[in-house]
Amino acid sequence: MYKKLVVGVDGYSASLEAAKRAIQLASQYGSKLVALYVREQIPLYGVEKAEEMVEKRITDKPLDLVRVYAKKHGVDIETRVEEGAVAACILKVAKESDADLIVVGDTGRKGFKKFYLGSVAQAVAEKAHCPVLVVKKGTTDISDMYIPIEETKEAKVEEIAKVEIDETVFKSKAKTAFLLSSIFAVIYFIAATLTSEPMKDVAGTNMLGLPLAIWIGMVVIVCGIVVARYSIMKI
Amino acid sequence: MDKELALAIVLASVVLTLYISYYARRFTRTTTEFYVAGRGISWKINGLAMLGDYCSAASFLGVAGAIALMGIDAWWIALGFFGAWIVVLPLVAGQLRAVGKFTVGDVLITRFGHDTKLRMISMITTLVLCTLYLVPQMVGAGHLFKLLLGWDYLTTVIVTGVIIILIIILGGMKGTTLNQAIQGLVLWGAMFLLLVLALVYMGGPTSLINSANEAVPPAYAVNKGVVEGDATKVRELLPNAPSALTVGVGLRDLANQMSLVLGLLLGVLGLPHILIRFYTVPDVRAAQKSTELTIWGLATFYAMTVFVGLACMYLLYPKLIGYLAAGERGIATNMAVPMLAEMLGGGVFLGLVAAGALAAMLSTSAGLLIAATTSLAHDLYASIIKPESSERERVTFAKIIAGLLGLLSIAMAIWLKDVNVGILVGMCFGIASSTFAMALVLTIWWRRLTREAVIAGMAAGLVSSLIFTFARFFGLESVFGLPVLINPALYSVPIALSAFAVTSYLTKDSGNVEKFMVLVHRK
Repeated sequence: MYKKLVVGVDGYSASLEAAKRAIQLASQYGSKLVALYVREQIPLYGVEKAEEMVEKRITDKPLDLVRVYAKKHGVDIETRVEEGAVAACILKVAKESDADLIVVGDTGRKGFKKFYLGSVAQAVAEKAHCPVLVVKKGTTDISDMYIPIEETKEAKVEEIAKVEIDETVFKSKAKTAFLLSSIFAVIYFIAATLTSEPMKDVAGTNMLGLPLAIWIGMVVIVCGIVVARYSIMKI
Repeated sequence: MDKELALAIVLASVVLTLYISYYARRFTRTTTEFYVAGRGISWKINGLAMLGDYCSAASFLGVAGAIALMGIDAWWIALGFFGAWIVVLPLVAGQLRAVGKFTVGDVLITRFGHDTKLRMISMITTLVLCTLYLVPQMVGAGHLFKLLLGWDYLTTVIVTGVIIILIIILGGMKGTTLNQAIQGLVLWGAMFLLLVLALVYMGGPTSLINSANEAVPPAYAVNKGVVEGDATKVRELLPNAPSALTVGVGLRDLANQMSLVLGLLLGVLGLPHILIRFYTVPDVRAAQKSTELTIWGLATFYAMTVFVGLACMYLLYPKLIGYLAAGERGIATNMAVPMLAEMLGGGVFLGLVAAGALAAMLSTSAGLLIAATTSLAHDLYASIIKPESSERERVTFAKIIAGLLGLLSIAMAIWLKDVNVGILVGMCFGIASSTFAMALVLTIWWRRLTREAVIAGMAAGLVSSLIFTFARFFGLESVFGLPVLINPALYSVPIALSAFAVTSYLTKDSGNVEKFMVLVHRK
């Protein structure tokens, strides 16, 4: 009956319960499953993110966990990562995959927390072009989903550091970085000297209606913008 | 009537920005318009948030206020505030994002490994900077609400200070980022509005410059015994005096000038509440692009402040002379901007500009309190006191201590009420430039740096900059035979640098250098 299912997952229990239900359905109907992880793009402080968490994060790799579980139950699964607004991404992927059922978890937030964070499930259900299954948190036992070992920070460092540093690249980066900062610093300090007390006559010279002092300040600002642009292009 | 209207506008703006930022968080998760919150929103929001976080009472009130009293010299405060960002971009912006997690200390720990002393010195420096940086926000808020409510300074600074701290800490710090972004727009808009008004009133930029050429800086005039008069009258009294556009009036010698510009240039490299904003974007590129956006915002903003400052001097002249002659320097230097708004547009414009000032102060205070609580939670509680604690426990502990530090900053705001808020913030820049700035740049780029050197260098920088900062607050003329300047940097930066360098050559532990370098310089 359902040929294509889409389920949105993050690292928390409600979406994993939804994923399990989605896998069960896919297994039952022989449907294909798309599991989607949405990376939010809002630059929040660590404290802000911590304040938003209602519960402990179950896994840092929800797609891996879901893929393993799906394979175990013989479900044809495709995983995707998108960036942006959670609800919008789920709907976009559903449309692109020609889904005939969307499955989402609902953490059941109430009151102020709901006002603040909103409900993705509600937003998806409102705008979806196909049926939506909302799986409420706490309705499904997910203890049989294998939980992969959390990656430790040291392991990550090891992995990245297997790549050796390219000495020439490093030296050239360092040279550019310090060259650009020095160029600006020199202009900045020359400007500061030219506008200091011992040079007050020079700084007071009239140039096109404004004293040189103001022109010097504007030069500092313009140079700053130029150096900034260069920094981004070169480093 | 004017003041009540202004107060109503200010309170409405606070409520509005809080509501929008709370609503905005929901919107960014549940909107179904895909293009709205996709790629690219991250660096834009962060850039605006950094603008709001960075532009505080100092940028909004202090720069123009200082120009209004002492003339064009004070523009260096703004140029320094701007220039600092130009060196941040190539030297640390992307690199911080590559290794940063929660606090500035994390970068040092990533290279040098877990070290209690390192965590402690990072935490102490962070707390010192956050507390001191809060002081000018409290001073600004105290004077602003004194202007709006008519109470005395002591009462307003305590009441507004406590309210600001409570809002931020009890508000759970939700919505801070989006709040800062919105407030960045508000403060920029308010300054723009004031500039347009001032130029229209004065009949254009040329007329403004001509008037500035006539006016004798009020601080100078009062020093020479003037007690009243408008710009023309005082110029007649002191025909050979410098004008608002003459350099050297406020920064009386090269040493003062150089110390100030040095401290400012290196300052942002070491300000925790700005640095941790680099940790919030998804990648290095986003960190760089958001910095560029902030730079543009600051360039335009500070270019506006010079004209607003000069307009303040000319149009508010008799008032400024009056306040200075009566010994009320604090009001004159910190409230020039709102007073100009009231003069040009009554209660409505006073309200709008005061809303801008408050936006600046709130967003920075929030950033500072978050930096302080994050450091307390991670550098102190999680790393040293109780590693197995839950996130909740750490944050609760941190909030209590941060609240106490907030109270300390209110107490200092009572003491330092006559200091220009721009100068106060400049001191923080001086302290930051002698501590974290050096530590981070050297950690990121110098292989030879050792763990002991970071501890020694930061300690030396912290102690020397604090000595000269407080010497200035206490009005001392010199310390150890060295003249006390407007900024500690001229002394503390070389002292710190020497400590970093010498200790590095005397010790060996340069940490996990090779692995760290790969990590920190990847793209």
